Amino acid sequence: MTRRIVNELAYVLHQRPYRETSALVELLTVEHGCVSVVGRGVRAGRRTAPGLHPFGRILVTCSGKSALLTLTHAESLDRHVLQGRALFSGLYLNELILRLVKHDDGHPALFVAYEEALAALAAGEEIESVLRRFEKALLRECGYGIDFEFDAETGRSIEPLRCYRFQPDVGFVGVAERADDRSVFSGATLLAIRDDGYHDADVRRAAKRLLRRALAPHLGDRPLNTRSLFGDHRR
Amino acid sequence: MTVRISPLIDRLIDAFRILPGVGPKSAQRMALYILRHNRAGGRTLADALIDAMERVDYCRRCRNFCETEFCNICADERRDDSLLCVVESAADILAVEQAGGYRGRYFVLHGRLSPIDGLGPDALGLDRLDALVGAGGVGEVILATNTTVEGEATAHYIAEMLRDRGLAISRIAHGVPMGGELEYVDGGTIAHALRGRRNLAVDG
Repeated sequence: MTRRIVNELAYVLHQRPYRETSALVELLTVEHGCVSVVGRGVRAGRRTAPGLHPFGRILVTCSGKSALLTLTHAESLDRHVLQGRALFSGLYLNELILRLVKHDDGHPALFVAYEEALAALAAGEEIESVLRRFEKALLRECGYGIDFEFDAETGRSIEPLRCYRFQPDVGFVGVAERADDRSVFSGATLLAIRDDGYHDADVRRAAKRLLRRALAPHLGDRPLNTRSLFGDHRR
Repeated sequence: MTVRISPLIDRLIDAFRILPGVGPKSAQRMALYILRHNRAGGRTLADALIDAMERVDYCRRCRNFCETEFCNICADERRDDSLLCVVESAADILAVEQAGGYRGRYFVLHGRLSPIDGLGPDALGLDRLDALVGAGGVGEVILATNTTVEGEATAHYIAEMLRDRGLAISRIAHGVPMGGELEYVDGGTIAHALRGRRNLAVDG
């Protein structure tokens, strides 16, 4: 059966060279989730479709019979220009999407979250907050959303003064002592993360720790390569 | 389906197909051409290929291709040691050299960071670049990687890596091409060109 996508809004996540002048392009679309297309001749000569690079927003038309569709038309709309650490962060978002979002699975809300994250990065907003907000939205849209409201065992509301251990696929479970355990968080911290209140550096650190644990089961054995970009070069 | 001719000729045709832009039809044309018209040229090609494949290696200093310990540019004592231009490919060195005007040294990455494809900092010999700069003598590193997303990421990664070395780090300018008309330049490029605008000095 031939699949057809006509004039759908999409973001370019990645482009890799294919044969002499073509490229394999990974897209995040509104209605069809991640889509892989082959753009024939898009790298030919000097007219190298500038819109087909990462963070470019396009209207895409493509069709085909297999998982890899053939790009028939791409109208370039605009493109977020990211620099420095914001650029690394953007690449990280793209890798997360490519690893977690399934093909042919529309996530309009994820598309909006991605768009907001790119705009925030381009505007120079504090990077950690942008990444955490997006990671939460991504997990939610993929069906792995974290429940910040209730203790998964007792069903009681998360209380600021209690401590909770995070168990992937289960949620937060109340614990008596705040042992030296990297999976334990205070209720107050969890409520701050729920509300995306990242002005406190401790909350930011805890949010990073929590979301790494929440993402890990869905990433499998392969590490996220873009994380290596954030290396510490100080001697 | 490809028509098989004879084992030796088929092998020659297949061998030509490793070249970029050469499909079955062109490969067949090339093979039949040298067999029919230019056997001497064919032998020269074969010898040149064998010699180059066996003896061409990377320059110990800049990682450009060469068959000696140091490439011609690195061996040239008239060059400015204080300038180091970092490029993605050996072809980029040729492009800069042909443009003229640059008399410093080079470093070739033979690629760019593309983490999503698994090409991280380790794959680019960045430790070699770090060591070269650390050995002293370099006053400015010019990051001349491509203006693609990966090229930008590579430039920024190197800039962070060399940040504490106490030298000037610059990025090649990008924006509206020479002779370009704004009307036909894409939005991203124009935005970049505006951000990277510079003062126009007027004499007198």
